[in-house]
Amino acid sequence: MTGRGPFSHKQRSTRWIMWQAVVALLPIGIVGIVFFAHQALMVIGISVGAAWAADLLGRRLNRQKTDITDASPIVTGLLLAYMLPPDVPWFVPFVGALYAILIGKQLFGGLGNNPFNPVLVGRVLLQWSYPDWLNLTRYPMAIDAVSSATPLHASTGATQAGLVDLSLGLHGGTIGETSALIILLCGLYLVLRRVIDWQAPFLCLLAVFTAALLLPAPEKFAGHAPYLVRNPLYHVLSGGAMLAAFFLITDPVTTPLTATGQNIFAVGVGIITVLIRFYGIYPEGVAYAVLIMNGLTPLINQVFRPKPLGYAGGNSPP
Amino acid sequence: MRHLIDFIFLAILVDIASGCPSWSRQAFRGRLGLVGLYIIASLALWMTARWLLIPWQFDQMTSQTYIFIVLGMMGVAGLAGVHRLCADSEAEHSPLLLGAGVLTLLGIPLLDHAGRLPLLDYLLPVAGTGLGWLAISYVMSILKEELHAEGVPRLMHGRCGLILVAGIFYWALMGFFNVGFI
Repeated sequence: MTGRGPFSHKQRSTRWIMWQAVVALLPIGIVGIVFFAHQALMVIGISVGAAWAADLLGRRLNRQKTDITDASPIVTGLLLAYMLPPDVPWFVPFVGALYAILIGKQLFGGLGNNPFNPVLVGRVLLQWSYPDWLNLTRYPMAIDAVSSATPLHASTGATQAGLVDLSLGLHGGTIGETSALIILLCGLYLVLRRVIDWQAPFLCLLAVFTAALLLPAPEKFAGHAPYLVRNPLYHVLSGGAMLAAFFLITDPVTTPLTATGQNIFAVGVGIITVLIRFYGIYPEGVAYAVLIMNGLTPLINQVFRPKPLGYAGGNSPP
Repeated sequence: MRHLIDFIFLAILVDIASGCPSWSRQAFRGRLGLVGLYIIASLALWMTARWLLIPWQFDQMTSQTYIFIVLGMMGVAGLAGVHRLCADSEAEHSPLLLGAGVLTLLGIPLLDHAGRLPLLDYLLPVAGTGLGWLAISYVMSILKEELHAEGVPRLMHGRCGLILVAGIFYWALMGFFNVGFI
C-alpha cells in the first residue's frame, strides 16, 4: 500500500494484476516466436524459468513466504526476453533474469520495495556484461524477405521499413518489440481491464512523437538513415517505445504515486528516449530513460505528494 | 570533458562513505558552499596554469598541483570556519575531509584544460560538474530514505544499499551521456 488513507478496496489483488499482465504479454511472445522461430522460444523459456527460480531463491534468502503462483517473476522474465535479440546464447537470458530478480528486486526486499524496474536493471547490466551479444545488428527472422537490422540502427546498415511493416513487425528487432500493432492491442487490453490508466502510455508516446518532431536532426542520421529525420511516427512505432509505454512505465512500484507525477514520469521517459536516440551512440534509449526516471521517482513523489481524502489545501499535506 | 560524470559519481561515493546526510537547509548550504569552493579552486587552477605554468613552458598540469590547490583552499576555508556550513549531525566523517575528497575528484578531469581553454569555456563545464554533483547528491539523499522503507533488508539500509542504487543510477546516466569509466 503506497498512498495515504483512507482506502477503498477495488477487489483487485497484486496477484490478479500480475496475471493480467501475463495474459497481455503472451500474444507478444507468440508473435515473436512466429517471427523468430525456436530461438525466440528458447530465450523466452530460459528467461521466464530463470526469473521464476531466482525469485523462489530470493524469497527463501529474504525469509519470505514461498508463493509459486506469484506471476511477478513471470512478467519480469517475459519482458526481459522481449527486450533481447532472439539469437543470443542461452546464458544471456539466464544471467539477465538472475540480475533482474536477485539484484534488481530481491536484494531490495522483493516485490514492492525495488526503486528501479528489475527488468531494466537486468537489461542494462546485460548491456554492460555482453555488449557484443546485445548490440547485434542483424537478427535472424523466419521470414527471409524482411531479415534486416532494426531500423533505429542508423549507422550500421539499417534499411527503411514502411509504417505498415513497423506496425506488423515485418522488420528486424528484438523478440517483443517488433510489432507495434500487437503491443498496442495488448496494452489496450490492460487499459480496458483497468489494470493500467491510459494517460501515462499516451503521454509517453506523445512525448516521443513531439520530441522527434521538434528536436534538431543529428548528423548521424544524415548519411545512413534519413528516414529517421522529421518522421516522428517512425520513432513511436520502432524500437522499445511502445513496449515501455504500456508495460514498463505503468509499473506501480517504480513510478510516482500521483496521476500528475505519473504523467511527468511518462513525458520524461519519452523525451529522454528521443534524446538518446538522436544524440547518443546507442540506437535505442528507452531502458536508460525509464531507469533515470525511476531514480527521480522519489523526488517527484516529494513534489507531488498524494493528498489525504478531505484535504482542503493551504499548506502542503503532512 | 567526457569523464566528468564518472568523477561526479566517484564524488558521490565519497558522499556515501561519509554517511550521505539527509538534506536539511544547513546541509544544502554546506553543499552549495562546497560547489562554490570547487569553482573558486578551479578558477585558481586556471589562473595558475594560464599565468604561471604555461608562460614557464610547463606543458602538463599535474594532478598534484590541483590537489595542493584544493587542500590549500580547504585549509583557508577551515581557518575561516566555512567548514561549519558543511556540518551535519548524520555525517560521520569530517566535513572538511569530505569537501577535499569531493573537490579533488570533481576537478581532476578538467586538469588538462586548465589555462588552455578560454575562461568561459573552462568555467561552464566546471559549473556544470559542480551543479551535477549537487543534483545527484540530492537525489541520492532522497533515494536513501526509500531504502529505509519497511520490508527492505537491513543490509540495504546503509552504505551497501546506497552504493547499489548509485551504481544503477550511474549505469542509467551512462546510457544517456555515452561515456564510460570502465
